[in-house]
Amino acid sequence: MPKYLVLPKIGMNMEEAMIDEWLVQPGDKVEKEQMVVRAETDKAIQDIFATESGIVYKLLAEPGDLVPCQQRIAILLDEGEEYSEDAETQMAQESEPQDGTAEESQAAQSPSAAETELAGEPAARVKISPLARKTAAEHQIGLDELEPCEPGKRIVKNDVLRALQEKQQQSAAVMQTSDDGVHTDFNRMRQVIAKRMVQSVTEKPRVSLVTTVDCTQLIAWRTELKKQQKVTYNELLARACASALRRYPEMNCVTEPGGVRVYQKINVGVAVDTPNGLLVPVLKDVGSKGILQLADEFASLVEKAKGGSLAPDDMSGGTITISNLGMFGIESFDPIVNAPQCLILGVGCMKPTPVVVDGEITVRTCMRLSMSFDHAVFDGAGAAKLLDQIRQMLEYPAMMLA
Amino acid sequence: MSIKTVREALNEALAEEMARDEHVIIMGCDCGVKGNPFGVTLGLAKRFGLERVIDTPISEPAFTGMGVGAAATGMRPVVEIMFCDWVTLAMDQIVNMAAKMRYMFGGKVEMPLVMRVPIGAGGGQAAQHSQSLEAWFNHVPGLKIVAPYSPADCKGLLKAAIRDNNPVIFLENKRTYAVKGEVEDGEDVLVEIGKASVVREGKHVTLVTYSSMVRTCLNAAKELEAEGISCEVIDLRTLLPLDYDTVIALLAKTGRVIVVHEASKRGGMGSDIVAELNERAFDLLDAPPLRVGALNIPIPYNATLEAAALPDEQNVIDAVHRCLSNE
Repeated sequence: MPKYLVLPKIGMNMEEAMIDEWLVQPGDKVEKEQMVVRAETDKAIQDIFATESGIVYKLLAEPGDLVPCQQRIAILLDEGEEYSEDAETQMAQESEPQDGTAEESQAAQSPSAAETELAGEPAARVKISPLARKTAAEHQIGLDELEPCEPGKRIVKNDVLRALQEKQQQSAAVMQTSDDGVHTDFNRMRQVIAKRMVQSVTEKPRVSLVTTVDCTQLIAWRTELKKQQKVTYNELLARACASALRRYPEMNCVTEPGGVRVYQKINVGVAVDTPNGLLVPVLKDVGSKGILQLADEFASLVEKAKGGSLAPDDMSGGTITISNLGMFGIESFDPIVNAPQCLILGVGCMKPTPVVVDGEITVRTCMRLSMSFDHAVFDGAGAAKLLDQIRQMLEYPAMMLA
Repeated sequence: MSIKTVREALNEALAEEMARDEHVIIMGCDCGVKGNPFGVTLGLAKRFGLERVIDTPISEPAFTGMGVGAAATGMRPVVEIMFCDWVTLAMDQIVNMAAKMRYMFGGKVEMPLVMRVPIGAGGGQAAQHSQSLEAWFNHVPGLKIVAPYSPADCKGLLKAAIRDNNPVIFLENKRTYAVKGEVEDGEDVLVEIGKASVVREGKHVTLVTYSSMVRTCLNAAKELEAEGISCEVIDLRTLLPLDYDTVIALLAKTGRVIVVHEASKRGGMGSDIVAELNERAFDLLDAPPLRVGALNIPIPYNATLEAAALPDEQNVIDAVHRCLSNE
């Protein structure tokens, strides 16, 4: 009887993945947990393991296919076994609803019962008429752009024409202000970024506060630290955020329906620019770690981010995000909150700045910090206190120990 | 142009062809003196003589064989099987002789045989007097099958069948003998075998039908029009060779097709037509092609049960709704 490889859920927030490349081909023998396919999840390219052992008979997903978790991606056979449709039908019948007790006892008897049941579910397919499929292909409309007139119904030619009309209207609007241009589809990562950004600005009323930090002591401290090992300002900024948040523990929270969820551990996301786009690996439990440890961890996260191998869990769980554009000479900017988080710190460049100290104008190296916050969750005064605390931590790094 | 019934149109076709060509003869039970139980050959024996309108003993294999022999030796016989149900008795002559001879003799023998076979149920004639067995003949290479509805098509196609040098199964529906319609006058007004015709134009669903179900489909289309559903109705007229070029060209307009016939649905013409459309025109289909036909049971004698077994307007309307439901 054929078995199926399904797309496992390998990260807390993972719902689907785009198949990038198969590492096995029909005829290959695979062992359970062997890496079989490379796929693009929310924000990383991942090698994904086999959920069953056997000989690959047929691949059910092609590179470029977007596959939901638990969907079948390949058919496996045992050695010497012939593929038969009958077996598949029989299996589908066997997995039809039974009474609960029978299911439970089955699950108890065999550890693979649950997997078999999943594999027995029919693979998701697009319900579309041949004419609609052909019409869509002629107009280069992807099946994922099509919707039936009512949920559950077949997609027919009219639905394709409707989608085409909408598309033409959209592009007509664009063309009025520009030349023909060249359309480029968002890749998976851009789609995710776009969705999150739009979600954040539509759901979170954002206010940005700006302050200036005298970096004299911070620079001196880093110089000392660097004698031990490589340390970047990002770790120092992360640690400062954590130390400040420790004083306002109720602000270490993310939004969820109907309220917020407050965490004890302060997990700081740091935006990283990669060849594929923006990624935000998360330093976990920053409040309880020393700078050198954070530096190690951050270096390894950055390496993974640039190689596209961050695991979904490396990018989840953040309660505050740091976005540092200082290296590009940016003085100040208002970042968009990384929902469901409520706080993001925008970091500008350090530069010699005339400041007044004890009534005298003198030159100090300063940087501007701007903190955007979700005004639905925090009031201006609370956020202002937090930002000022962060400033103090950075101006007098010893405060981080306080 | 004059208004005629199907019965009159068929009678006229036979009379004109007999007058035109002395080789045209008629044979069957009660076709001569009585003028056939339905009155189709009325007056022909009187006009052309009992040598040319031959009353035969009740033996379908014998008189069909006689027709095959006559056709092979230069006559143009029109053999009448009183009820389609009894064509079973003549199957060997039709399937193994008439359909094969021209092929097996390398074209040296012509087979200008017409089998007039009344089909159809209605009126409580029971299981042995009600069948429509056209699908059996569709399976036999070497035959042509004609199943017209309108008086004009009945006349034009019967004349064309008589003039055709191949065996033609000519199916008349018993319940349509009284259907009236305009018929163009003129001895040489023929209807080409193998051409379908559009009897109603529409844009949402294509109803492909023939014989008595043309009327049923037209009535259903009229009712559906009130709901804003526009049905195109194609009268196939010839079942073999079937005019797929026309059907497919018209299917392209609607993307939805329902085949409607009076014969049992299982293994009927509809099954074959739907299969052919799937093969030839899959990309034109916007909905699964459907079939409407009689229930797969012997046609009951009881009038209520008989009506329930046969396809009617409501069955067609239901099928159209289903076809448009996108479910």
